Amino acid sequence: MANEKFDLVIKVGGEGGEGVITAGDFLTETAARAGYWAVNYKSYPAEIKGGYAQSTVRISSDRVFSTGDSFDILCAFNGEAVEKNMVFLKRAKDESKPKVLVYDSTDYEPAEELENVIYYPVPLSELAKDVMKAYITKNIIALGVLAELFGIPEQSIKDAIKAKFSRKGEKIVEMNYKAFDLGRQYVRENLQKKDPYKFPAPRTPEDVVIMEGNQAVAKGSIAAGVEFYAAYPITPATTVGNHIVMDLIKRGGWLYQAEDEIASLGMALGASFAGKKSMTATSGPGISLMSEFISYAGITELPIVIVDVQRGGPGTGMPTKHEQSDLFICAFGGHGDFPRAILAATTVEDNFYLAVEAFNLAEKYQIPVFLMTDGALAIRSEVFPTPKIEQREDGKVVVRGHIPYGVDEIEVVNRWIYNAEEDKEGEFRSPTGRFLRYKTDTPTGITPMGIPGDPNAMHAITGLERTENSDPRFTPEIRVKQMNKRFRKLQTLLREDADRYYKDMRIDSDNADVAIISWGLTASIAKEAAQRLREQGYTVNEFYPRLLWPVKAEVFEEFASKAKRVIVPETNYYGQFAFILRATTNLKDLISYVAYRGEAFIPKEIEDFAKMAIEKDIKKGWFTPSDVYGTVVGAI
Amino acid sequence: MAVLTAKDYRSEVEPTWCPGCGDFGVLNATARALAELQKDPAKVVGVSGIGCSSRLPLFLKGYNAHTLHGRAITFAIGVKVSRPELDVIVFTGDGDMFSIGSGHNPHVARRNIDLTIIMMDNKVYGLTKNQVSPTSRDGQPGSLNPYGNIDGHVNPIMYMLTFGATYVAQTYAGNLKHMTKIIKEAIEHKGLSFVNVISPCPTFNKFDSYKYYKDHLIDINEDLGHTELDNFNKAMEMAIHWDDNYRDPQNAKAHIGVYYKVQKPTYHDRVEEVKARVGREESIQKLIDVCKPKAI
Repeated sequence: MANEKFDLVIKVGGEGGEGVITAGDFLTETAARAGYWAVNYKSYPAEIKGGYAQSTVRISSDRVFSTGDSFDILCAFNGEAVEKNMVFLKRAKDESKPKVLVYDSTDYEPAEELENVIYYPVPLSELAKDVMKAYITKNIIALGVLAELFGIPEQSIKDAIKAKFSRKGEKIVEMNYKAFDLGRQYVRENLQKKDPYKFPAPRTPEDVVIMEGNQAVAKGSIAAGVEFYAAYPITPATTVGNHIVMDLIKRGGWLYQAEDEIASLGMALGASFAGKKSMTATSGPGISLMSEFISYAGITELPIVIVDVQRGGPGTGMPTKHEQSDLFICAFGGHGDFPRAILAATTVEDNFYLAVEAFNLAEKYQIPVFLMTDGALAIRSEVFPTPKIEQREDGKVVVRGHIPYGVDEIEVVNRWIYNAEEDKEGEFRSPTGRFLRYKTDTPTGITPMGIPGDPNAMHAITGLERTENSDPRFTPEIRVKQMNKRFRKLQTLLREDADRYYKDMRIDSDNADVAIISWGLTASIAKEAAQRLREQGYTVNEFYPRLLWPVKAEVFEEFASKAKRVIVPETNYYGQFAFILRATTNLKDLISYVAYRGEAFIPKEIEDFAKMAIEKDIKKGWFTPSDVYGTVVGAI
Repeated sequence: MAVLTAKDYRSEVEPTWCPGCGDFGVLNATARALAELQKDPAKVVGVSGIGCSSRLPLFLKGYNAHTLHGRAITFAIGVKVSRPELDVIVFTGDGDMFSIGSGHNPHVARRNIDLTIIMMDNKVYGLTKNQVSPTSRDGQPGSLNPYGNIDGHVNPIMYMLTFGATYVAQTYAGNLKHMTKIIKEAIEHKGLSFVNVISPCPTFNKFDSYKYYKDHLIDINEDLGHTELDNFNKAMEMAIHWDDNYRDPQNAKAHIGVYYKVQKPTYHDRVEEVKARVGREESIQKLIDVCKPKAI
């Protein structure tokens, strides 16, 4: 068992369809099989077929949550992949570690030798075409090359290959093994190792899963007991449906492909009214379309989970790009005032557990709950400890595992359904015996739901303001009582549940040099920046809330009071979370640090800005990476 | 269980419609049809959108949902697909279903979802006080077109036939007997049934009065011999004649009766086939464990 610290970023780039993404998946699985952790950020071409694709895999001995600042090794399947990454290769001269370029010498010859870059030419296309007589083996040959050059454990990678191809028969497995061996052989016979990168010996593999972000949302929802899913295709949310459809059928539920997003939410709410746990997943434009039904869910108090896999907005925006600019619409979209909750995932693993939590909040409080994720998380895959599901005899379900925000377990919550047997006093009945769906004077604001089929809880729901038994009525007294009832649920949520989403907090000092509050994918990157700052001697406090709405002001205020400055990095223009915090807390001096170029931050950008803020004694304001570097720094 | 009568299907909420509104008749006919079928009120779900007609479910006992303008069908699909044992009836109007909500009509029909859609067609927006609708007549004045309607009309019967509805009928709010019979048939029909109810609005639509229909109504099944109800071509041909009434309202007749009735597999039948083919997995853990690296 090797225990040395290991952290390596391999990027594979090339033409879509050449097996670039598959190669990245193999590296990820190989890491898992060899007992290491991996994060794999994939970038598909926007084109239907062809176009540039790449996969960035970070393999490490300790868990990391970003793909780092840049790659150590680039495996370029064609010249375009080299050109696309030239900016990073050129930066190697200022970096301590060298960069390695493994490239297809059939397609590309470097014009110049860059400083601190090590070149390994391999005629990948030629080997695939002329020796293997099968161009599709190019990516497997490349894996052989990488394995030989960097000592990637052979058995682990061969097992990954076998797992992938065994379905297609022994012959295909053998052909791929041959291609893999060919790559290794080419390196042995033609190349001299010149770089310092060396994969350590395999460790005992952990009990892990490999999931993509949208898949984790799907699996988590299944664990929560979802029974109905309404889908309308939209990038980058569609694949939540792809991943859930067959599982849902196996669990007795159904996925219905709607005619548009308005219909999706209408259908999901119909199923919720009928007593089923239901959800939909969409992206920004879909949320805009759903807004009227979101408001309707608020007044009728129907439990619903809406997953927003954010993309670059506004309008059609940048459908395949990363952005965190839907926080406003999730927090404020839909007309009128009504309670809602927003959870946001920072990693793929978070997606799994927060999907369970989103259903719990929706079912307990009978409100719309948003689970916010984004396009980068959607297609990123992660190796993480296998979640454990206990299904008890009495029907209770408990979810355990490595829950990243610091809770021990999640017990799956089901809605409060009216039971006439338990209501002997007639608490939820009018003097004439009518069911009081919206009784106003309960301490929590929550009232039992009546489910079709039960003769004792018949009622109507309406989007109109209503009496306790749901008759439309607009008198000031009834209006105020019903509003207070609905919002009392939010106060209950803040009292009973908010704290469990506020545990991912670290306080180094009561007067830290800098504090960071961040959410979503940016939080996972900020974490790495914070660690680096700490290693350089700064005191850093960190807070990564999973609950973004409602806001428990005192938690943020106390956190902020322990630092000289608070930076809120996020990838949108306004600094939407900082905006909300300024409005809901007494914190006015927050520093918004934003990027809106369609890519996630890299850790270095947050690290460098934090140092700049400390040096220049910045306490508030709005900044972008251009304020640090004078130019836009791409992270791709 | 004691025998239920029509009034057992009515809630305590009193209708807010204008005196003489055709929708009163639809409410009565629905309650009668449910009583004749002895449906359990707790297992009937009424769903509506927004408009005068969409208030109807609030006056029914049972489980009812008064939803958003134009979206009743979407909500009803969610109820029916997740709880197929429930009877789900959509109550809607000409503006609700054929203007704002028209995008949902092809899809509910082509899938043959086992819903009953009852559209109260008064040819006008009443709740917002007199605007023309997609079924308004030529020249009909409204508050936004006081000069008279120039917009043209849709033929709801023809549309729903084309989209794939498997039961299509038209009835009249002034004929309680016919209406009850049609609504009952529509509820019993397995598949998407569409019932267009000519429902006079004495407040805003002076032309389409009870007097007018007394003089013009004709039963296509009994009076015109339209009896081959599973013949799609004949149904379309008969539906085309509904346009005659728009072209020449003084002389052309107003039709009621069943246009089309055919038995086809419903969406639910197909869902059941898929579920049987796929099978069930009791263990959630197994569905998660498929994401582990496959054992070699």
